[in-house]
Amino acid sequence: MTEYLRYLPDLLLGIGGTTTLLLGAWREDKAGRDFVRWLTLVFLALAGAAAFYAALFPQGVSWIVWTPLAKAFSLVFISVGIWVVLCEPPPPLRAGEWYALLQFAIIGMLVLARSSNLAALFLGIETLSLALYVLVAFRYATRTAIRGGALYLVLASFASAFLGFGLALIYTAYGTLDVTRIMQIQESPTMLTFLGHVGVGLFLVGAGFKLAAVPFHMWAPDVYEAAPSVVSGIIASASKGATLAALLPLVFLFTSHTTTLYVITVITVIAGNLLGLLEQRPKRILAYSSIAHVGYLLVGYLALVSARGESTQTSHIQEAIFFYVVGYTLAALGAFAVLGQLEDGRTLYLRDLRGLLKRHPLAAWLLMVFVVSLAGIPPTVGFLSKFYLFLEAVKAGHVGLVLWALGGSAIGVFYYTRILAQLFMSATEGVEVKVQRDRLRDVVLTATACLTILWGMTPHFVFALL
Amino acid sequence: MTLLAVIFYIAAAVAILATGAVLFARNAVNAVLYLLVSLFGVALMMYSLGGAFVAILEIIVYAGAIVVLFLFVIMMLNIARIEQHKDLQPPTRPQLLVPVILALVLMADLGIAIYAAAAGVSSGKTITVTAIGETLYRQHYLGVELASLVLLIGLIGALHLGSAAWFTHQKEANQDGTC
Repeated sequence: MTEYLRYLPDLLLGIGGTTTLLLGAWREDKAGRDFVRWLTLVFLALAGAAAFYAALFPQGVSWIVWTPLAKAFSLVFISVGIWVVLCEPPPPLRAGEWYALLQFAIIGMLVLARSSNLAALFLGIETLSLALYVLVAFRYATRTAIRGGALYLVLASFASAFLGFGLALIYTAYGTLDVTRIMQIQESPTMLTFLGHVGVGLFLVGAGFKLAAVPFHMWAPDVYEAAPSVVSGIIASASKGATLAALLPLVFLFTSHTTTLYVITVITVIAGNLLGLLEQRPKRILAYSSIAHVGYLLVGYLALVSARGESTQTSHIQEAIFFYVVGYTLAALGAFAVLGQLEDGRTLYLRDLRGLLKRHPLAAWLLMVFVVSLAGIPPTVGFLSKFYLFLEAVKAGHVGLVLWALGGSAIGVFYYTRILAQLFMSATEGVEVKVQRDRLRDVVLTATACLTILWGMTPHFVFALL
Repeated sequence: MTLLAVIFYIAAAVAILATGAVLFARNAVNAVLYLLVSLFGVALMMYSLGGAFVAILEIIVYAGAIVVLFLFVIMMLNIARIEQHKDLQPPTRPQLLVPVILALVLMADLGIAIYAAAAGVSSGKTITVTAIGETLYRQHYLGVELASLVLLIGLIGALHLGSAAWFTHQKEANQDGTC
């Protein structure tokens, strides 16, 4: 029986999801919506506690493994869930479905963070993306929402097809989908067959779509713009973080594909930053910024690949990647949430941000902190995490790559400055952007901004999670 | 080449041809029929590899339920528009020629399979229902559960996006002037 306790967080979230779904359908008034909101929070908190202790239970043969890193990532993803519930007031309709899908998406992330089997990875990605398709198009009364949801659905299914076919070929080559067994076979002198190589390549394409790395990034700006802002935040940060967490144990698959990874990383870093320069809409700028950040994370991943399983170095790089994911998640979630406050159901342009500092100082200051962190300027967590990651990459011998990444971030600073500059400009006549205030959201966002700065100076709190 | 390998390769060829035809079929109903042929081919492939149960599932679940559902959806969605659309006309005789040939080849293949079974040729390892059940529900139960979760999410999504609730909500909000 203790065998099943390892799945306790997932089970709790599954129970929570179905409960909120049913209760939400039962009462749709204000009290009912608030009730499912707090119920979701309770279940997420329970799942967090369970994730903290579930790692203690015996491991056994299964699809998931509670490594310390997996535990830390799980806690981060559950915290993202709690953050979203606190930050976003319940939708006026179908609150039960909103919270149920949120919890199901987090189950997908948890499975990804702990997967030790490629089939679990595939199913985790499916669970996560399927929930996200619906969340993107949740307020489907507008044309953009439907377009964004449909775009995400089509392209992510396309990616899943690549991923699935890649996994099938990997299975043909190795005869197993279990990660440890594939690693053992890989280490034995038998060469990876041609089919295995093709499989890994297709797998890379599928994962690239999920991460929105550059040749596969086209969907990102449109989807981020169409989705409700918190959902854009989740797709940009936690969803990518989960995919990357699932890829971390798989470095050995890519040892003979470093050139491909190198090219993808360089063009992701450069193109992500260059494309952002031309944008006039802040949510799209943040989308390109998230593409660039995936590029920086891939720098870390490439360092991990070239560490070749050397244990101290591997764990250092993994810690740096984890820290980067945490830092980026804080800043991206926060920035998207602030933009969501201003959005008010229409497309937001950069010029709408003008004079925000005078009109709504809190929102402007918060946005400033988050954007500064995204740009990687001290004293924020964005700077320190980038510093750690690039330091580890240099130690692993990727000086050239780090130079590319630094060049990319230098370009990036330019468009982040464009956002910041708007805040200080005087407001355009006749453009009055309403800010939807919510006291709890203000508190949560302020706390997030404080953490962004605090963890930028005291990173050991984050590393204590590991 | 053993008899089972012959069965396998014929079925595989039919499946590949039929799947290719799905991509290039101009007529939606025709495409679904090709898909049906392809699934039968895959089922025979499974059978020749010793997976009789999987073959049956392939026919019952995919061919029997899902593809027939496709057919129903295609036929029912656009009843009013079928008259105008060339693509949705019922297939003509020349269009049916290729699927019929493919189906005949498959039938011949099935004949060989029956002959092989009668002659006592088997692949040596037959995967029993018990073995499948053991693997699925003892070792890989997480996969079963996750797959059911994916289906549940799909169901919620379809129901949510299919309802008109947000449109009416939007209209009311616009009338109130609050939105």
